[in-house]
Amino acid sequence: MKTPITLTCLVLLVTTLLAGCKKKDDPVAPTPPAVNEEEVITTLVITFTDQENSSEVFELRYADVDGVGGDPPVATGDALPNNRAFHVALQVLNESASPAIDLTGEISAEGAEHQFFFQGVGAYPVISYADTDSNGRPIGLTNIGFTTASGTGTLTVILRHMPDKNGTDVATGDITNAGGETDLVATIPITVQ
Amino acid sequence: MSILRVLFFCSLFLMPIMGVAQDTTCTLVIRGRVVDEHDQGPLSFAEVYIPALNKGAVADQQGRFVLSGLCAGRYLLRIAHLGCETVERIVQLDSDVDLRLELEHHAQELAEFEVARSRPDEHVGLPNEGVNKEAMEASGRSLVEMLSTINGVTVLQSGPTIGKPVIHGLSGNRVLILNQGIRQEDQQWGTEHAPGLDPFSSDRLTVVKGASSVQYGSDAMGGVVIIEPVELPRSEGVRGEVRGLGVANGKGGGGNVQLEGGVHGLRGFGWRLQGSARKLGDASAPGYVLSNTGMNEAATSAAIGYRDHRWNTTIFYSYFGRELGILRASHIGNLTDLQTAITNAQPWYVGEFTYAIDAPRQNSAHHLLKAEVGYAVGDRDCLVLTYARQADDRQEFDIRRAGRSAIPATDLSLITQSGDLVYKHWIGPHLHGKIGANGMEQENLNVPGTGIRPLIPNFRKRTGALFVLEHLPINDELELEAGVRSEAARIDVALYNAQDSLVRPVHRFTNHAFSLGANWSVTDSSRIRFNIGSAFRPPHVSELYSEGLHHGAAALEMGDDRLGSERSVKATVDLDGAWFGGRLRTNITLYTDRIDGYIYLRPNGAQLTIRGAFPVFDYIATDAFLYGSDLTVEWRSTDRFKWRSRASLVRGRDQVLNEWLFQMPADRMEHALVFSTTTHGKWRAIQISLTGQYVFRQSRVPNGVDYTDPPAAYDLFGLQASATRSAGKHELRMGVQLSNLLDRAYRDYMDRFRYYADARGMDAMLWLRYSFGRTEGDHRPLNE
Repeated sequence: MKTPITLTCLVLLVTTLLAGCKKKDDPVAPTPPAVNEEEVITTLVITFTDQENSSEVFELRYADVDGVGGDPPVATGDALPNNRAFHVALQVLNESASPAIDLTGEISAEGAEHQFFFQGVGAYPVISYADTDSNGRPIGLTNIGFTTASGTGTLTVILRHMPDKNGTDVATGDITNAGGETDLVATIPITVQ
Repeated sequence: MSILRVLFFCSLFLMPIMGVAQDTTCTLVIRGRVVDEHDQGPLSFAEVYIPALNKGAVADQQGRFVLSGLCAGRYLLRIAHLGCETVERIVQLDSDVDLRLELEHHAQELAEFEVARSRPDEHVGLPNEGVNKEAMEASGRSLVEMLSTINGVTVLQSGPTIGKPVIHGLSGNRVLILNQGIRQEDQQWGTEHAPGLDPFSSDRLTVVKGASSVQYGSDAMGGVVIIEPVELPRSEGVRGEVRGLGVANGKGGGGNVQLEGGVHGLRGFGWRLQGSARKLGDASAPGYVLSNTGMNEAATSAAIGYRDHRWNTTIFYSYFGRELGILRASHIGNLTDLQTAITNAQPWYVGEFTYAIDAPRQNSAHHLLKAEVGYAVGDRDCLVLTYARQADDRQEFDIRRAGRSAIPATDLSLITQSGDLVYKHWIGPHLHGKIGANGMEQENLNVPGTGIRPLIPNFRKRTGALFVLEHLPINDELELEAGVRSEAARIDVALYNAQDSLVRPVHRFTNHAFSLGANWSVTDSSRIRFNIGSAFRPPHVSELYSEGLHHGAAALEMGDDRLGSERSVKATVDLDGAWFGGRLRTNITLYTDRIDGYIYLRPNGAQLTIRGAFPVFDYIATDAFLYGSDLTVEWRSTDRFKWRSRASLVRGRDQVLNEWLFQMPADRMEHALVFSTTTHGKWRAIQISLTGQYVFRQSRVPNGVDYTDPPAAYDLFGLQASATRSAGKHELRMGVQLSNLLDRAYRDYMDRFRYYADARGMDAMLWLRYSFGRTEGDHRPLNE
């Protein structure tokens, strides 16, 4: 009976192979890289500058500093005077990084792929585009705004990435046919007095 | 004689499909049962052989055999059984036949040889169904589409390019895929992750529709998809084939080249080389282009082996690479965007047809290296050692700002090493089986540089398992199988928690599984298969630690690190019958599946973020109960016409909340009229079939889990035709396949992109295969 000997040899060989193959490394999982999410938008700042008097500046701010998840966003801001015309500038920040990163330049550089839309309820500043992308279509970073009635209301600012800027009425600020992906939605309470 | 016997025995173990030679021309089937002339008892492991084709099959324990892939014609059939006189019979084959073959046999000589030829059923009691090479060629563009031709198998889709097999209502990590005998280890946790497998690398797919954790380990809950290895040639001479494929919807195509042969002067050596590539542009739904749904694939494989009377060694390597686009309109920002997409009849973005693939897109590459050594111990036992290494790279590109679209948003590297040692033993004629040990180590690494918090953390997983599976043939009609497995897993995780500090949690899971199966031949023409088995699945790291936004689903998904293993018990009964002299064949599979700790995503309110509102989904565990049935009826009215009807039903209940489970396949049925004829001019093996499929609306859905109502019922018609002709010494086989003939606009409940767009419209596919250099003597006569 040579079988048991052959078998023993084989089992020995196998055991040696298995043992030899075994890696003698750290049993724990490899350390993941720490990630600094540069492109995350946490904050929208809207600056209203009186067209007649550039020293009169009002600011609205919508911030979700801990990013998606965690605490809900917080809206803060000044009351706006009634019956005024403003230069309205938008600024987009990543305040989860330190120091904060200004992402406005990225959006401006890719203006053809971005567009802000403005919607209001009650008393709110009516905003119209004052900038254009490389195709002559609006982006919405630089605008003009008017307040025409006093009271309270809300202003909703939506940033769409890769919208269809050729869609019907999209260039005039109607979001209905814009498509694309929503990068930012800020609904800010407004007081006009 | 003894050497041959051992060789054969061992080879059977490594090549479960050997014996049914893989000739590639035609599609007819000879089925039958070999019985003793005197007592009408089955002659187990009898050989049925067609000398003219060098083609043979070995009957199973109960004397049943199948010879498939035959051309029409007149054949001499030689039936041999040790202890019997070899007999020959002439068979005129015009359509599939059922035979009852009687041999005169001398019982006293049988006992020993029976063993040596034994080819035990690998899945006793489990319903299992295969797709052969001809059916694979004629049934679709991807491996998963080919699988879905099996009753009870459906597809979970994410648009036209991404599909995952669903067996009896379960998919993803609840279906195990075995490629070349190795567990396919890729990123199977996401519904948008299709398995990275080349449909050209195999010529047979088998689906086992039952719980099989005993034999295959964790995840084999709904069933197992087996991509069978192709046997290496052993004789000299180079042969091969070239295949081509043209696809209308997507304006693309592909090809495959395969060469194989033996080595001159080195008997026992064999090799094979194979390479394939496919390219498709944007698919189209009725009326519009599904923008950014193109795909490029390239794959290659190489195998070399040596085989003698004791040793059987194979080294196999394969690479599969895929780049695919994800429907542009499916990339959305928040819940409002999703709701807008649902109310719009058309996707918001429809561009011109293009081959270009833009973000969102995926790149994946899968490498498999396998080395296997089999050694015959004594006359009857066999020891097999297998080592495998898999490397899976996956990069997903999102639409990002400032040129970051070219930087992957997800970049994962998964490396898996596994070793298996199996000892196949013979204790006696009523007890034989296998005992084995498996070990696996897996490392998942987030490749730095994405600039995005990883969706799943880094982890290292180790498992070790022991199993035993024994066959217990009771008598000529009844065969039992029983098995148990124990498996331990340890998962080491490394991630940054919400406070951004590095934590290293460890999870340990121990699971056990059992299986009991029976094959019972009630009469020559009817058989019952019964199995009750358990399966388990430790939670995936994604279910434990997901925390964040799932883009395509517009949902915040939250893992739970306290989740335990899913454990299931599934019972299946499979009834197979032939009536009216084989003109009517019926098959019915019934099953129930109880899953404790079934993990799923449950809605838990909504969260407001600066990107808008998102629904929150938590991974939670419940107890699930699934049941259903698959039914097939086949009626051969004349030699040329055959009618086939199939139906498949699945029900899934959440036992805790007493409601339906989400994402269960809707009821469906399919009817086919098949016309086949032997010759027409220079063509032979001509087959034309007209199919109609009806998928019901899924009305059994849980409340508040989905964003919209399930889509309406739909019907699809298809037409296939195929034929073969000789080209000198070589052979040409070709076919056309037309699907969704009426260009129906429809959406399927199991397609995650049904929120955004219709499914693919009408399609036409033309394929051909040119085989050359096929030599005689390829398949050794078994009674030599």
